[in-house]
Amino acid sequence: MVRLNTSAATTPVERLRINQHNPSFNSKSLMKTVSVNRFAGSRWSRAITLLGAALVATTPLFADETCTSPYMPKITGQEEFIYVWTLGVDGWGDGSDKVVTVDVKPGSPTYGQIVASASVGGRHEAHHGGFTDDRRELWVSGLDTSHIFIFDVATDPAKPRLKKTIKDFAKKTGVVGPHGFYALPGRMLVPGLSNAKDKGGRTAIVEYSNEGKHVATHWMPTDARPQGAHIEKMADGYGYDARVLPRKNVMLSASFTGWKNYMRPFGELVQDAEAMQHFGQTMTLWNFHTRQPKKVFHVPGAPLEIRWAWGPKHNYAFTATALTSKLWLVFEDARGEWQASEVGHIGPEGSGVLPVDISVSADDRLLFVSCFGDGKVRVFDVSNPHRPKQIYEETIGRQVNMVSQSWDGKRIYFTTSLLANWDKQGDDNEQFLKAYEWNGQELKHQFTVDFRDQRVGRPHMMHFGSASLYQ
Amino acid sequence: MKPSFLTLLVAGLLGIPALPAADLIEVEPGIVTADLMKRRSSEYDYDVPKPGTYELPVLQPAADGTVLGTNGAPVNLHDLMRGRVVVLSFIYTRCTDPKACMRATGVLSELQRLSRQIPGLADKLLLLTLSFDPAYDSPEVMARYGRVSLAYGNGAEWLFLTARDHKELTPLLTAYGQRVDKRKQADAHGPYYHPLRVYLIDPRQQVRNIYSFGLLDPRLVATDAQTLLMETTAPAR
Repeated sequence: MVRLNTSAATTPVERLRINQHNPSFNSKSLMKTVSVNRFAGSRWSRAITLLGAALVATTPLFADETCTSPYMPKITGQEEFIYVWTLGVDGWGDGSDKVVTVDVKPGSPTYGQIVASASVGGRHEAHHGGFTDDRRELWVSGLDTSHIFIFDVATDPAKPRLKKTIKDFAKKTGVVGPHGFYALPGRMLVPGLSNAKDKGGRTAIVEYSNEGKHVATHWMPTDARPQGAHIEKMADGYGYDARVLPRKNVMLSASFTGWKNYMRPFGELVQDAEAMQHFGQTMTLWNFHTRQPKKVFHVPGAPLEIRWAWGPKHNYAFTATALTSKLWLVFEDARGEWQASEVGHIGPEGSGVLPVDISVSADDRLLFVSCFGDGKVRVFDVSNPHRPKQIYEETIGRQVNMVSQSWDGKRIYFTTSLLANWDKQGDDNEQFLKAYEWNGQELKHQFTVDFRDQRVGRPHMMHFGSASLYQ
Repeated sequence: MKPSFLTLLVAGLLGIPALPAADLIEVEPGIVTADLMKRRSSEYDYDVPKPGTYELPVLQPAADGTVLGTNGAPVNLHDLMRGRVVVLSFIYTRCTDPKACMRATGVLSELQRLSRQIPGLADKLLLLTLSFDPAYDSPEVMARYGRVSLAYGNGAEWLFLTARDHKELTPLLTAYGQRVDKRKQADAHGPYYHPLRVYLIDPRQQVRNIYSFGLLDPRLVATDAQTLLMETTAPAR
């Protein structure tokens, strides 16, 4: 096939092709496939040959926080800020949900203090969020109103600025409760919690472009509509977290409960046996590239956060079930089949401690589990992922929810709020961000920002920021 | 395609490792190579899906703009793209980050190689490498860059482009969402900071996928390109 057109050019494409380099390979020789070696002395050719001629193995792009999307740029040093997506409380300040910036840069005159606060106006049941793949924007959402708030964190990393609000998420997608925000190149993966039709637990994973345009909606498989997935026991169609292991082209999603349950006062909800039936019992493994569900695992007790291991050969993820206090492992077995198995109990046997967040260390050795029920963090040695062993526990407060750790594993941060109607009452309703150092054996308290005393709100999701990302 | 005894013999003589017959493919009469679409690696440890078995939603319109070929001739991007599936890669030649521009160019090289083994793909696939550093990457520099990159002469067409200046380039980068920032401090990786982005564009000039590190598996890009070519009706915008 001759592509070079040296005759009189008539079209723009042909004009361009004149003198466009086209190597004069003899197409009948396999040698042409190595002709690039003619340029073997070139820096470009060496690199390109090395990188392209084989599907080479390279180190994955690590994020600093150990629980974020692998597609984002990394903070190479110390995090400078923590952005805290905070629920508004009636009578506290403007009463609105807000993104609060805490200065965590050691040596800073405002270390351990709130340095900025950006209100979104109104209470939306602030919950989770995530950066875009270029880390220039932070998307956060409200589980009640299904509004999505997009903050610019690049222009002034100390002061996130609300630049856009998406208000028609539920109307456009039929999904209620946009829960997570997982960065993909040029787009955001947004697993939901509920649906607009009955506000129950059936939901979908939605995709938006970074520009805020709806791209696709992938409904979770159900018994009635399995979409080709193998179902272990049942497919409830519920959702919560969704995370990707690119190396294996798999995505894993978990399951919680619908709007009708998560907006109800917790004390009232647990007395309603019928309502308590409507909690997630499944995890779904997807072909990530095709977004097609492949297998629905039976994982009873509301499996929440998913953490893939980081090691280049570690084909497994952890989750914790909130209602049954179990650690589960989803792993690829020796035959290449994906399986889910219960690998341990969290807290005293026979008791429930409501594990709500987990964080795996960058070396895949430790798993931090924060337990809302008794306000403790429990640290498991997960060197053998099939046999986690608790090695440490510490009381963080009367309630604790999210846990985030730095990439080097030395700094661990906690916040307290679970859901506005599920947080504890009275004196037990502590609301803070606490920072600790982990020395390999124990946690050492560094500072506390008391969100209740300062009448800021209920702190929930934490994300790390740094001006160094935008140099 | 099952290779003949003769082609297997040729492969053997040329030192291609003894792979099972199913993993060899005859790309031209007498030329046998490993079936790259079936080759897993530690980085991409999975089988690629069959083309046409999944959907690629429209992400955004693919913007148009004036670019320069290696002969310095100006041309509209859409004139180049029309009627073909396009893989568009933004790079700059001074980039020395092995995970960025060189990586993208390596993947396009691999795609060009893959296009030879997939019937009908080479004619309908266009590879575009467009520099976002017009001050340094003149048409001549892009020609040199192209010479060391092009390896598979009978694969998909691959054009190396630049722009006249930043004024013409910037609206294009903005429209595609390709962020490029000049570094404030000297860096061994080169003067620009940029996320790695490679765009898949359908014959109607709509962006249908965006790849970055971790997703830039040439086999997946080839499968996506085939999937777009199998579409008979325009997907809903």
